[in-house]
Amino acid sequence: MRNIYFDNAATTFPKPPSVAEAVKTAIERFGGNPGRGGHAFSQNAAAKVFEVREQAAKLFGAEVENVVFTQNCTHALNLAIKGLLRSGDRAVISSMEHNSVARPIYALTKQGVRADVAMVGRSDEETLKNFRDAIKSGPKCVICTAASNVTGRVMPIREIAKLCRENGVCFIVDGAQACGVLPISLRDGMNFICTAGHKGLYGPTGTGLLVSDGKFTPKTIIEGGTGATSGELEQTGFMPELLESGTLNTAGIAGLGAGMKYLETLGMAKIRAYEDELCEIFIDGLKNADGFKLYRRGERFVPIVSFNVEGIPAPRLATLLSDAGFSLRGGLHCAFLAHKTLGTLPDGTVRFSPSVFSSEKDVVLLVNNLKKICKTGSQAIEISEESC
Amino acid sequence: MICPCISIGFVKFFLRLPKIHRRPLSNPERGSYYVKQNTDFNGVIALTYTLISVSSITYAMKAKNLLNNMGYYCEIEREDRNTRVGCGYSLRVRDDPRVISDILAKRGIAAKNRRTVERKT
Repeated sequence: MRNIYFDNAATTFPKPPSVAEAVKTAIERFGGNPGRGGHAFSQNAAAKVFEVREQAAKLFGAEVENVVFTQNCTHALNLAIKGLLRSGDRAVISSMEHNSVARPIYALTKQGVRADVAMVGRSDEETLKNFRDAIKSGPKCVICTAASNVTGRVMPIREIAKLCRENGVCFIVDGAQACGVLPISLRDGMNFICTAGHKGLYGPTGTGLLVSDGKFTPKTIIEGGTGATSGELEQTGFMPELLESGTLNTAGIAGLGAGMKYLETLGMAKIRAYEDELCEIFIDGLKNADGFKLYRRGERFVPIVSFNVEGIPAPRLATLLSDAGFSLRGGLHCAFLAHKTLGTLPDGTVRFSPSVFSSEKDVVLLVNNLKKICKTGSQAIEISEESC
Repeated sequence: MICPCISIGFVKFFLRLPKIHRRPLSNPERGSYYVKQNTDFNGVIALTYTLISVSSITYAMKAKNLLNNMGYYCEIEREDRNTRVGCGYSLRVRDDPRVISDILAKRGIAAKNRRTVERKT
């Protein structure tokens, strides 16, 4: 049975062939440890890493030394959040944050950091009003997702950045679902962009980016070998080595470079328009189906659609779809706060997220299968339930 | 008319002297610092260039790309010896090191130190 992948918000699949080729080439040719030693292998690997760093700097409007390679978006967010906040500081986050923001913030509240949640309203205006009110408390940091990984809703990050600038507050953006889809850049006014390399940027898993404007320098949460200032026990004091301890994922970074090149070649706007069209086909096909519930409140969206079918818990619905050959994620999507805001606890929703490699034909197949499920229901009969 | 014997003798006299080749800069409009390539009587060639130390491989790469794009020769070398802070990288340049350092400083690349090297091959 053919399996059709629609979980690109988790990680994009398939990757462009050039990405696989770049990873293979890196493993075969760039065998040295970049920035460690003066021999040809080390220098060649370092040159490759630098090339991708420059690509990312150009994409996000940063200086090349302010681009830090991380393992994923969660790693990047932890470096920024835990690097900046100390006991007694205040932070503001939105009510739609992923656990990669909510959990480090929660952990920090146990160490004396105060956290306020700005509710995401029905409109951007309402959301901005809530952020404005929350920023009055004088936070050190505001952290906000650029686009929700549950509903796809695009947040007014330029306006939030302006509010933060006016109040001298550091603004960290979680760009996991937006980078590679929306033209996000430090020119929009944020101080940090944290993103995954393996989603909209079409790089391999194990890659991420922390991009900074250089105005705020996080303290380190990891120290180690950097290839610079090795004679001192103090961690290297300058970027990017300050935040890049240990050997870099050269092969992954090479793949990430190929992914960004693919985006540049095809055009971000073109990819986005295609994915938006697929979402429209999905929504139009199902909006009138019995028991189908769509979660799409807001003004603008990235190509992510959350839904439920009445009477079928989201994890069960995802399993039914998986049995039918469609890979979608059902549940809380590592975003407890978002589902609490949507009122979809405890089971969450099922999430449809196409990529540039998804086809209209496959979306129509999914729609038809879902219509059948909406008509016939779960078909599961509960025999008994026992407490353990 | 000059006597041919004197002319030939003159030429031979000059042929015996060590050759000093003065190559123009990569961009002749920039300064007056020349790479000196001396070939002595035994055929040993001495090359003179400057090594500018920078903080890390990232800054070294940034500097190399910047200088190469501006038409300046620049290659990266691992430092021969460690400093107090440890291992590092240098930029090998042939143009006026003061001009180079100035260009780097304007782009936020701090030159830690400079040393002129004569390497014999």
